[in-house]
Amino acid sequence: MDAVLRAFPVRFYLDNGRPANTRIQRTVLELVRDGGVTYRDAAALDDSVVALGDAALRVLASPVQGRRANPNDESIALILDRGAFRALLTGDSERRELGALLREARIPDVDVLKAPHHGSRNGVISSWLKRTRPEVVVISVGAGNSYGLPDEDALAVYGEGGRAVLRTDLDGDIVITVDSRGCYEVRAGRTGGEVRAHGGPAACAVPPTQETRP
Amino acid sequence: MTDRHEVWIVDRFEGEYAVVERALHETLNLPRALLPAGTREGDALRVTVSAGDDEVRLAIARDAQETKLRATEARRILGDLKKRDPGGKIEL
Repeated sequence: MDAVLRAFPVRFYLDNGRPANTRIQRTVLELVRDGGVTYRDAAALDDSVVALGDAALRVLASPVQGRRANPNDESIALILDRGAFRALLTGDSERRELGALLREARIPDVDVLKAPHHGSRNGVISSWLKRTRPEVVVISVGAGNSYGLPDEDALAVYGEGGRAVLRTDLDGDIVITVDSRGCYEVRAGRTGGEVRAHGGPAACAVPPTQETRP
Repeated sequence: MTDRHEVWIVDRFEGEYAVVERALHETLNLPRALLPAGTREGDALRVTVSAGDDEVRLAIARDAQETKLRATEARRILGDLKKRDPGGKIEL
């Protein structure tokens, strides 16, 4: 995160407002403070929408709070909407937070789900997939990571019914292109990318990358 | 043997392992069993590294004072930032 703050002009920094004793958090927060970046606490932005052109990013603060809470369960979730397309991105959320979000009934049916907690076993529950019903699951995970992620059992759950499951350790960069109707395609690969999945409303006869622009 | 002292921070637990920050951008995955009983996330650990020709010995102790100092500083920086949070929606 500190590399991002050093490399790009950043206007807003959003986090869950939980202090940590680590050097990395201190470094990041000092960069925010000294770099003129506007700090925003997710708790104050819960359920608010950030407009990105004709796309919308909804912020879901974690319903799990407390000093003894597992920090992973205080992850911020984001819902991205454009046209009929919807994606759900969770951070390191584990079962406790996922269950709490489900009980709040704020988790919708989505097209793309970014797997919680890098495809960990403790980041997947069957009720989560029954509610989200994703067509595509994307797992952000480092190649050869020492945690053994993604977990084999989690992979089996994500892949049920032949669902497309893409993972950055094996598939490389994963790029999702969405047009204003919500037609989307998912490309993966280190050499420009091949289409691995696509979908959207019934009108999506033409893949978004071939859409004629005025 | 020569001794060297380091301060490690317990970032989090992942299953049977603790993710410990040894330095900025350097973390170690240590089995929980190698840490003092009662170690919690956020704890500062005072580590003494005794290096000899044929062996290296590590002595790991919880450092309550260092933990408290770091927690106070973390709350202070975050508190200052929260005071500058303008509120309202994010408009890009």
